[in-house]
Amino acid sequence: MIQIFLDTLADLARSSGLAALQWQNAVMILISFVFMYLAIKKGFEPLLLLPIAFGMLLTNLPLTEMYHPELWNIDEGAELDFGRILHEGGLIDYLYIGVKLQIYPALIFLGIGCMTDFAPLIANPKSFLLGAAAQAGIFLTFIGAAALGFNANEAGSIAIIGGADGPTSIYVSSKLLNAGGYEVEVGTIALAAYTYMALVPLIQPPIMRALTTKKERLVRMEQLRTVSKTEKIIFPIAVTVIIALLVPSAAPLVGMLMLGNLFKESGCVDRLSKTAQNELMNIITIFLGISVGATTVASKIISVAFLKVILLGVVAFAVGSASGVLFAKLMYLVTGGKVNPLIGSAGVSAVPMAARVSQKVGAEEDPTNFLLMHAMGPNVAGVIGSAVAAGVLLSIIPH
Amino acid sequence: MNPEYVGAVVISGLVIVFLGLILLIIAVNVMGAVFKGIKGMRKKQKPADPVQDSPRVIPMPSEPLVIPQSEDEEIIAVIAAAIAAIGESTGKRLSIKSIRQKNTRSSWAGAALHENTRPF
Repeated sequence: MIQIFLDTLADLARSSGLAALQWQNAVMILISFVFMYLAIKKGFEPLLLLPIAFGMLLTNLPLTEMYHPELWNIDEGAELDFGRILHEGGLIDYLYIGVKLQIYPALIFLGIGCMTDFAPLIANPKSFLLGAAAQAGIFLTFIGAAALGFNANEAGSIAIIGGADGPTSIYVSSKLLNAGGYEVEVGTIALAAYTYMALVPLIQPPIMRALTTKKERLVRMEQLRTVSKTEKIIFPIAVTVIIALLVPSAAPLVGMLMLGNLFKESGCVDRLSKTAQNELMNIITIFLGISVGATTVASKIISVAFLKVILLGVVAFAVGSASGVLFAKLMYLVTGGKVNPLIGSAGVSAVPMAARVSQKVGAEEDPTNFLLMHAMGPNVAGVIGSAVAAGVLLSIIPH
Repeated sequence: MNPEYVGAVVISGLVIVFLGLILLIIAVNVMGAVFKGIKGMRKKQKPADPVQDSPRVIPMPSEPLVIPQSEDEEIIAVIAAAIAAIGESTGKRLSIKSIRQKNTRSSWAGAALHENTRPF
């Protein structure tokens, strides 16, 4: 009897997760704990970082059978076998279908549209230029990624981190990295993007101070005009038509963003607007976070490629912020000092954090100078700009 | 990656992003101009309201107090009574010479102020 008991114990030990645990998994589990700490204790983008970190934990616990990378890694030219995924997949495989088909980022954009007020941008349309200038970070990082040996699809996925927009990063990388065999994965891109978005208040201020003079930081901007309700209703329709005609591949993101905004501004579909910005967005955030986190398998994180992604990510953010500030300086000169260059850094998306940083740095020089609303213009323009840049990358790079 | 290809991605990317957003600037400016024009036409059609356009001047006490028929009536009456009461107690003749509308902080500035002072 004792022998049977000991055999049973031995069998249990052999079939347990502990026996199958490799050192790479253990390291990844520790990294997931670090990200959970950052989300819970430090408040680093907790809404997404916490589910991402937990997805990372689940996928690295051996034998859980919740996510199967082998089902998603397909040869070039081959197509995903969704029948096999449904038969052999686990819970996270099913949730990951929404990432792979680019459903979640578009629905997140719908919710963002419901929460965004484009009035500062409509009142001061020149802010669009700052939203465009900050996208230089994306394209200049593409050069850096190419120089570090990444191929076009990987470089495009890394470069989009500079847009400072999590859903856009996931959308672009899931499309460009659709086939298997790449050094980077959607999860690693998302992880870098959300970490840097949380670090915007640390990354941007030194760049802003270094590129501006005290006199420029003290500029008080003219009060914005009042925007009528009709203008707010026409705006999302006009943006959708213009952008979808110019860059059709940006239509899923821009279209959903503007549909959400039309829900908000029309005032006739309050129920839809509230659902899109609350319940729907929260549900999608959970699905997106946990499934993206699950793609962060050890082989993709404990690698030189991931270190390069981290390095290029911070370069992308810094270059994007600097481009915005420099373009705003140009506007300062052209307008005879009517534009405060600090609002330029808000051209990277990261709504509303980047605008708050502009306000904070401006208030350090003059506490009575309120730049927040002026910075919101470039900030929401940055959301449109990064979606257009995403569309451009997708239309140029074969995938 | 071929440097020419990298250059093409960077240049075409920046040009298209700027082009797209410049088109949006034009569209928003056109929209703003149209609405400004419509607003201007409506203003012209409406008769001018002298009470709202000019600052309200209420001479006291040599002339009878002229209070505009607005929702501010009660507030003005209370302030005038309070000043008269102070004058009686101190033996001084105090009067309100004029009441002018001051440019208050806009709702955007108010929102910004609220946003930045909320933690405190």
